[in-house]
Amino acid sequence: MSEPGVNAADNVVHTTPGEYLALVKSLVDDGFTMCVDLTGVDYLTHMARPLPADLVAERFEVVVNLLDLAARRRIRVRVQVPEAEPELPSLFDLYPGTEAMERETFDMFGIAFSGHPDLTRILMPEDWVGHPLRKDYEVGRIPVQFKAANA
Amino acid sequence: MTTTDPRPSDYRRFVAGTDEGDQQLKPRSELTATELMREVGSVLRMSEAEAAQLGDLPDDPDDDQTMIINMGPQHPSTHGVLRLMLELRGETVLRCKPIIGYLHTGMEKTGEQLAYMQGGTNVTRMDYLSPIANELAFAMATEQLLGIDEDIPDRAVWIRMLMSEMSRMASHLLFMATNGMDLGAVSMMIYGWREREEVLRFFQEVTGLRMNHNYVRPGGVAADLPAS
Repeated sequence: MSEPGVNAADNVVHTTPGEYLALVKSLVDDGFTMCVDLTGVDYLTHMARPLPADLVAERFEVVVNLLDLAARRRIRVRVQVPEAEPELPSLFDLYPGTEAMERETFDMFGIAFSGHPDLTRILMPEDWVGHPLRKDYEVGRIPVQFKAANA
Repeated sequence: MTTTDPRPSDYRRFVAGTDEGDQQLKPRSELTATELMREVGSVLRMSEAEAAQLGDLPDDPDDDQTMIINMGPQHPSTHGVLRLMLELRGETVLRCKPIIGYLHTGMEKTGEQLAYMQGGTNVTRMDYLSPIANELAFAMATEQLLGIDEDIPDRAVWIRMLMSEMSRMASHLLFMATNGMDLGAVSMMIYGWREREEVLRFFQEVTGLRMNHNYVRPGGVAADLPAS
């Protein structure tokens, strides 16, 4: 075990919003023809997580898992997304299937994707305020009264 | 950036061996205009508020008339609750936008509040037809994070394998059974459910429950297999 949570077989590449699109484009050309997953992570309380030395830790990360079907290779792209400007270019033109996943990441984390054809909320109602999977989003609790229960 | 190719690919040979040719989705740059229209033009990319506004506009008889209607969210034949926003011209569906989220239960958010050993009860309910697979993924992720993934007993590893394969069989049987039911093949449903029931009986014997087992735990499994 080198680093907790990182499997030796995992192939991880870190990047910044500015280089994100060019990097993914080069991976597509390299043979990673399938985007398995695209999601966000809120590292609100883990700003000191281990990262490559030349990278500034930001609050959000967008994680993209890619698969090369022909050569059976997988790779994980981790992008640092700043809280002040949570926006990335959309991968829709490279992977049409990311349309729904980018909508979900927008809905749950409030990370916008420029160039997305329809960046609307996908799970929450359209007029919902807030982004539920952010770590500072309060978990609502509704008190339940069990009338029939004996005290 | 370097990635290593573990094994040489037989992909080209496989493709040459079929009479269908290469079936991978082509990059956007290689699509013809017709194919691109079929791919991106069939989705109604419009927010619900915009669609509602359209309904308030006065009808223009000279305009090419299309209509946006809702199908759902309730529909007697749906297993989950799905709503479709359809753009119609006459009886032809031009574009469609599926609207989901009606069954979303916020399990990821719930999971944030739970300890590692409580997580299993949460994830086992995510796909209640194939619960062991969810538990396995959660347990393995937890073990990796804790750095104990090398310390799982061999017997637990093989029990996990057995249980997740049985769970997969039960899940696929139910999938095929209900698919048959939707097609009107009711006997297929009966056969599928009968065989699935055998698996569930085994699960009840091992875990105590027919579903929502919380059997695969971080570190191993909840209990050994029964003696008989």
